[in-house]
Amino acid sequence: MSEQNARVSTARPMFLDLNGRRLFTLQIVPTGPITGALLYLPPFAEEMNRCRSHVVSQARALAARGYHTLILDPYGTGESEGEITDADWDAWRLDALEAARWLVAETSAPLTLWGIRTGALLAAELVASGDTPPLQQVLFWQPVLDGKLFLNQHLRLRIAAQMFTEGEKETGDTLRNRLNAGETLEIAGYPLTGRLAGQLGSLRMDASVEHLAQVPVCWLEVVAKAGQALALPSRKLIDTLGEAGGRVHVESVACPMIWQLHERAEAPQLETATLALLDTVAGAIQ
Amino acid sequence: MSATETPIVIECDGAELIGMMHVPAEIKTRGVVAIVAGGPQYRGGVGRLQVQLARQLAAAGTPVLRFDYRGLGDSEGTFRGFQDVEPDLRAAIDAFLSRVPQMKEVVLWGGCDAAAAIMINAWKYPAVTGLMVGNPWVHTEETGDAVTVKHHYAKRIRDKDFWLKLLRGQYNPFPALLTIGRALWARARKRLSAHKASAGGPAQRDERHLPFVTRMRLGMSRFGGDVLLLMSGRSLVSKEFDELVGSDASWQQAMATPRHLARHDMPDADQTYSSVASRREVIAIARQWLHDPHASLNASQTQE
Repeated sequence: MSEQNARVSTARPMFLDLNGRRLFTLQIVPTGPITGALLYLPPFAEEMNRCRSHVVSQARALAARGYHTLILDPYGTGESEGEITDADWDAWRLDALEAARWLVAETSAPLTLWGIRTGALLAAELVASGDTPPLQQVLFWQPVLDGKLFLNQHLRLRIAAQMFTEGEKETGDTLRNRLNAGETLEIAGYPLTGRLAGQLGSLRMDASVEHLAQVPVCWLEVVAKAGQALALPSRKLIDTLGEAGGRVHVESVACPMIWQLHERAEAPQLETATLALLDTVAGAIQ
Repeated sequence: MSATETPIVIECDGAELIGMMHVPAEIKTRGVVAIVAGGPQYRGGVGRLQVQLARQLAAAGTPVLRFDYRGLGDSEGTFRGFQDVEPDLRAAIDAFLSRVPQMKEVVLWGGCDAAAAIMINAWKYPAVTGLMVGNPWVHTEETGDAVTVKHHYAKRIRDKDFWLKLLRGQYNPFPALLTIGRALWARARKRLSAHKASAGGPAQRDERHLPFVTRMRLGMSRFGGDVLLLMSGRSLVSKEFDELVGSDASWQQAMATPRHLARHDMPDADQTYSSVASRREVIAIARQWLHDPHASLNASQTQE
């Protein structure tokens, strides 16, 4: 009695040596012909953990469409070498670029960059670098648009945790000052260095508009109710991209925010919407 | 000491499970097979506890396999929850033993509902001679209510804000009263039926229909290896487990079955050891225990 009636993918977990760093990758390889190469860039800290099973399940569904997905654990995260305290955004970008090149060499297929949350910011930076192999499209799930805002929300996790403990209560300002002074702070179980905080805080999606307008963008966001409009900052940026000549395919789904769940939840709408978006781009190209 | 890290794919009933093996150059202890708690997790998650644990244990001579069971994290298949992972654990243990043939015995490690899964199933695998379990999940409405009443409402009743809210009509007392009432009723019912309590009935039938807490107790009553209990002070789950064992003779009997039981309490840790300090302590205690399960555990050795 087999779980799989007809296997569409096989899993290939392996380490890659990229820029002298030993990085873990999980590749989901189609059993049929490979028609696309997809590099997945995860969100930050605990968000990476929370959405993992959804990501891999999505990759398996994409394998049926011919996508060979490479899921990358950035340096100092997941199964990769190093500690998060030694991680550095510039190194993450260089490693992602190398992973993209490796994947395209391995598959000889057109490349898609897929980023969730801050992973989308990383994907946008790769696009803006102009150094990637030719891109079929980029795929964003709930992209973070402003690193500064993201950092503030991240710091709030530490402040919220102090509500349940005795002792001194910190504020966003005191935490930012300590990070600016180069201190490392523990936020929700993950050490955050002043260096990485500074890098995260300086990221902006709109810095990459000019280059993002050159590739099809599939943009997926979670909303509270079906049919609800995207958040205002997203709509603004999508408009800006359109004005710059970009092709943005937008889809919103009403499902749990899988990158911050504490209980397990299914989100099949995300998977269906993602497949539909990629099909739209494929249809538009043919 | 150097150790190798090798990712593996384990086949379980047609599904591909993803795992990572850490194998030291010189094996000094039993191996460890680690599973993560259910829910939205994978083996690299919650501050990389499992990754750091495996790397540090392997550096001290312990082979470790960490893996995601079906539907969890990177692994394929339908998620069926911690109550139904017997074949997954078996597949992982077998794969580990066959790849590291000089290792003959393994210890299972998991927290929360992974601890529950381990306690249910450990006795079924001949190679498993030890368990490291953290804050075992035994939540039922009945035990949960007892713990909530004892630790939450008892505290709130002394809290000025609580009374002010109550007096101003901002606090709806009915959920709390309902919880307290349910707990009292359960206690009364238990006393009444105490003389009827069975010791578990004939063993080794198909027990999958039984409540999982009963299956945990039956599992422990058949496990003859060593056990290390890691309990967090800031976890209601761990209090619920203590409450259960403390109030139930058949549980006390079950927990007396293993040949050796060690316990380590971490007052400042939470359910998932989510701080850097508590992760460091878990790793240090696990390392001590693996090298000598009968020695007294010493948290002061956890300072690095």
